[in-house]
Amino acid sequence: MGVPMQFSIILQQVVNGLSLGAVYALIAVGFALIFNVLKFSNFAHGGVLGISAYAGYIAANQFKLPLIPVILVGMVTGAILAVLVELIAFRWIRLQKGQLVYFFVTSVTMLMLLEQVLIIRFGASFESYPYTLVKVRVLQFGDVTISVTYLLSLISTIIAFSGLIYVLKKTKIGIAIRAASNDLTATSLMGINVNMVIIAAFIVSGMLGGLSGVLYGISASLSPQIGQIVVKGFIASVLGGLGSLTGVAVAAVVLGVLEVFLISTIGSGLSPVVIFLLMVVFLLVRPHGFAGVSFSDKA
Amino acid sequence: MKKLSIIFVLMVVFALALSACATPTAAPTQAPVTQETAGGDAPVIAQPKGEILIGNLQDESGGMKALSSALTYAATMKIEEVNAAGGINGRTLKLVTYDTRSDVNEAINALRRMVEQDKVPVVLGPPIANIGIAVAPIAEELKVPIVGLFMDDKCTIQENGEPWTYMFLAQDSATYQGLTMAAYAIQELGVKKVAILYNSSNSYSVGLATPFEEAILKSGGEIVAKETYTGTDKDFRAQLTKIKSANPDVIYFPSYPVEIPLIYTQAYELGIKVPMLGSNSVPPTGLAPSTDPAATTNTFYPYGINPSDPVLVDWAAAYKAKFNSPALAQSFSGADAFGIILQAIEACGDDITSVCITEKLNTMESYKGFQGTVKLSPDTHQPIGLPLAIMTIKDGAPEFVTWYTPEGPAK
Repeated sequence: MGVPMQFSIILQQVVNGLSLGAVYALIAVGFALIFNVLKFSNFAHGGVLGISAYAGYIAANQFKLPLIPVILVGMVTGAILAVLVELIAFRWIRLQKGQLVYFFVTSVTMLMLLEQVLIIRFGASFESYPYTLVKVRVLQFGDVTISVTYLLSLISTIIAFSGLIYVLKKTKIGIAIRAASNDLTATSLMGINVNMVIIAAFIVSGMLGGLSGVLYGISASLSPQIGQIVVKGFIASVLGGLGSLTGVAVAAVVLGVLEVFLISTIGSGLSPVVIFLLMVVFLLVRPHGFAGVSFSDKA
Repeated sequence: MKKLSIIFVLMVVFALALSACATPTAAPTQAPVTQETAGGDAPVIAQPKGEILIGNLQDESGGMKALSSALTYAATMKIEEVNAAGGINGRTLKLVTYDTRSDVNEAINALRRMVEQDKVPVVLGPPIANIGIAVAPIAEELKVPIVGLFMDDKCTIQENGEPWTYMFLAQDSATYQGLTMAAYAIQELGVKKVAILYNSSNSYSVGLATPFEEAILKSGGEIVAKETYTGTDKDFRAQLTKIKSANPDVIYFPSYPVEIPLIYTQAYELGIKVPMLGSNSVPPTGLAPSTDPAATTNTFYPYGINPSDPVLVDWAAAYKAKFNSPALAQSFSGADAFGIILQAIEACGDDITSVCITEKLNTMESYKGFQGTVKLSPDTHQPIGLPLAIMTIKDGAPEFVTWYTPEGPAK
């Protein structure tokens, strides 16, 4: 029993890590997309994620909608909210050619503001999606089990990521977003409506935030601070390289696996310390991550 | 650039303003109160006439609002009942509530304000051990008694073994609960190999896990896995997978309400089938609709009351009708904590002072409440041996099993 048992435990921990990493990847890709275009770390993405998660909760709890419509409610909410954040918080700074640090400070302020909106509406206590939303909770493969909600995150990540890559590479708006991510001014001079491109990027980012908010809300629980999970997306983005969406997605999955193994070996108290130290080392040794482009003005 | 700076300042101010809106602190009343001085620097809070003000130190908007509000609601019901009957010695009661947001610094500031500004001579304390530990020395300094549900021994007993003069616990302590659950596991479930999963950053969780572990080892049991998590964790699969690999007979997880459904669900999803022993933070209404009933088919947890007791059922119905919220275990024990305060106030007659109330709490013979006859030990300022109701969950609904103590089944 000894060796097979140990192997199945290791395999289970790998599955646990991949599952967690899938959630982080979904958050990180939405986060990194805005960095690609505007070159700043958009922590307001966490606020968008949080409010979308609660919108999905209302759809599931009060309107008794099934899973797919609940996810759609989250994604639509995320898209609308992300556009509002861009229009209210970021556009003015961009038009004034404000420094990157202003974007950064504003994004953190928006995260706090959206959190407070949730506290005012729902209180600081926690809420949970009804368990009936996902009828089959777990899939069993021998000694290894996979949570269906995490599997959904993994599948959603793959679909969303593939769709995103397709849009970025094969569609006009995607090419415009990529052009904007290289040089906003030059893109504008080429006759492309930069404002529309940025709005499009925020819509896609918001949809990803809404999707990750609902899926994370189902697998964990809801509290107004749920958006702070964006920090994991930020870490994955730094490790993966903020200029590369593929690098960010891979880093997020690696982060999930690493986190699970650290918790199971050195404990949950020390695990964040090691991860943040790793991030500091990465920023010192390889500031553009293991797949990204170097940004000297990373904020 | 100047315009941008102004916009940033406005945004920060707006966020801060919203933050302030989110913490509705009940406005204390300015009832006629006086302050006297007794023996040098010792302030005595006195209320010689008018309404009797009672402090209420609770989380009204933070993460522990659900448990903390239970005490506010229970006290409110009790006050309405007493005031409708003419008050205590002809004087009506008024609750002065301050919001701690489950933050120890907020709690310390709130306690100072309610004592120094509002002159409350006694305080209903929170069901949060971290805050109980933090305010114990402040209560000592202010010389105002606090009766609450802070279960960790450190809330009522000092490091030198002496009780904190002004801290009183109105339900079984964490040590007592931990010992009771260990006795139940060993004697009734016949377990030998035990796993523990607890929050290492929370006094409540540590306060329950430590005596449980010691009692298991003392009884000849073995701790095959001991895993920890921190307050913000939502994913416990890594710890539970490790616990599963240790093949325990039972898992003890003294956790807060936010973590309990997640731990049940994730253990179930990992195929863990051994009994799960919980703490008194499981809601009396069960965990539906957030938790699959299949995840809670093999669980036991302790309560200070038997929720199916007809007297309690009636009170719980009135409570739910009034507050549109189910009565929690903390509602019943909170009502007892407040009842103990009222009994001490009544015993003081016209001498409503912090000194007299403290003295009456120290010498109180007993208090008949929802948890039974509560007798506070002068050595620990904790109840003496109240049996605990062992509960289980059947088809998603809580069910009473038996009364138990650290020595075995209650007589």
